[in-house]
Amino acid sequence: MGHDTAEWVYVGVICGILAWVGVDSWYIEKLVDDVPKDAEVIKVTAQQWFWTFEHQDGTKEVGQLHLKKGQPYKFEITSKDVNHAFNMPDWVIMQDAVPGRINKAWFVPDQVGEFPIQCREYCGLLHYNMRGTLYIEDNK
Amino acid sequence: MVLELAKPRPIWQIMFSTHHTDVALLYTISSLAFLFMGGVLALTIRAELFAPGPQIIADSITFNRIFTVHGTTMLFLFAIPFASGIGNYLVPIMVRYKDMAYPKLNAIAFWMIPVGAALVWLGFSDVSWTAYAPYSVIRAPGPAADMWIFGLKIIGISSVLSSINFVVTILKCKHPDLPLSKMPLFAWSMLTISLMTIVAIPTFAAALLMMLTDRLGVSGFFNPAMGGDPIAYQHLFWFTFHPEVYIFILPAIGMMYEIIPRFSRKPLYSQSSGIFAFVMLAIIGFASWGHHMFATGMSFTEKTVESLCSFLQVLAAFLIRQCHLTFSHMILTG
Repeated sequence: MGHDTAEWVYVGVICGILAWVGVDSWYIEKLVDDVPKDAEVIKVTAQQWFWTFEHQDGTKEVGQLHLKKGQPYKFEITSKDVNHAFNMPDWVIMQDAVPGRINKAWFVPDQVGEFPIQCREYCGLLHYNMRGTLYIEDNK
Repeated sequence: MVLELAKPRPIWQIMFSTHHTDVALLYTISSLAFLFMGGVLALTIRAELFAPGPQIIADSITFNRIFTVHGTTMLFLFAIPFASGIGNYLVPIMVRYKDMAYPKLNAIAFWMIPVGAALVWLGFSDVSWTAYAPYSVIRAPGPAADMWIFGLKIIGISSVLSSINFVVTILKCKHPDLPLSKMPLFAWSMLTISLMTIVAIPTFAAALLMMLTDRLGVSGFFNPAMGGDPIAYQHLFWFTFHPEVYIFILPAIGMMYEIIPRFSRKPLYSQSSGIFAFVMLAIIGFASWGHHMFATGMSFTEKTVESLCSFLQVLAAFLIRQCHLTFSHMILTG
């Protein structure tokens, strides 16, 4: 096997792996982009250094969020001052909260329990303590 | 270095010299000093995070300042000057010229680094190394953040000046008997990163100026309260700093290309694909900055385009691994 053959095999294998990973991630990104029609909107407002959540019926919660199991939710995320990032690590949700913009993210909780919410973009003095709690309750 | 130890000279002869080996020594020694200074900050961060809750750092703002200066030091005061140091020493020798093309400019470029470093370290800003607006514009305490801006401005000018020097040395002062295709790959890596620096840095330099005028309150480029867009800053920042990632890594890859074949006593597997990988990385490096911003609310189309460019980037990066082929070639053939 000459130099060229070995190198082309190497390049070919890498292209194959990249194409596989690329198509798969493109497909998942498409799924993530497609918000279900019946999703309930939760307005998420970040500011130094706490979270405010507003439900569709107008009730507001600060630092905690109560959701129902099995119901799709769409988050409309924005910020009042500097950049923050809305992150629920257990539900693989992370979206920046940028002042002047509304970013979206969605999920369907399929498990009851208490989960952490945290800020994932450095936002100053108390960034490390900008946390909240997500409570998912049975839909009955 | 060995010569210096065998026949020591007074330090001012090195400091006021413009010879490329002397400037290289200054670059290398000062960047290693900054590596240890940044390393002390890194150890402080790790010691603080050894257990939950406050350990050795009293308040969070000090912690924020420490990780900011750590990041800034490692990237701008260690990685870039270290590459310049090795490049200054080896590139004129590799292209068979007596010195760098502009020796005085070379020394000026070096002596700007201590000034920038002093601004960064005396200011001890808390903006984090990315200095995302609007935090850096409306909330970061001054004068630390302003000193950080000026410090990076000076370091940026310094790296553009030394890059111009490298490009001219390699393209204009190279020995006529040495074609570019036969030029050692380390010199190729320095040529690539110098061209990348000249293209990339001005964008960040402009962003720094806009940030400064925003902080002074006379403009609102990145301040949403004045109609600006914080995401614009991130685009400008990453357009510089995604290529900058390759500017940091390519000299190290160039060193591997020189070191591994010599110590394995096997010729490099393929010189031309090494050059091809450098050039590919340099070009595609300017197209894939957006993958640092996937969580900022990009549209699906933007994400798809940026993913595609990033995959091409990974492909180019894998081509660099052909020095591993030299390595396995060595093992296979004994």
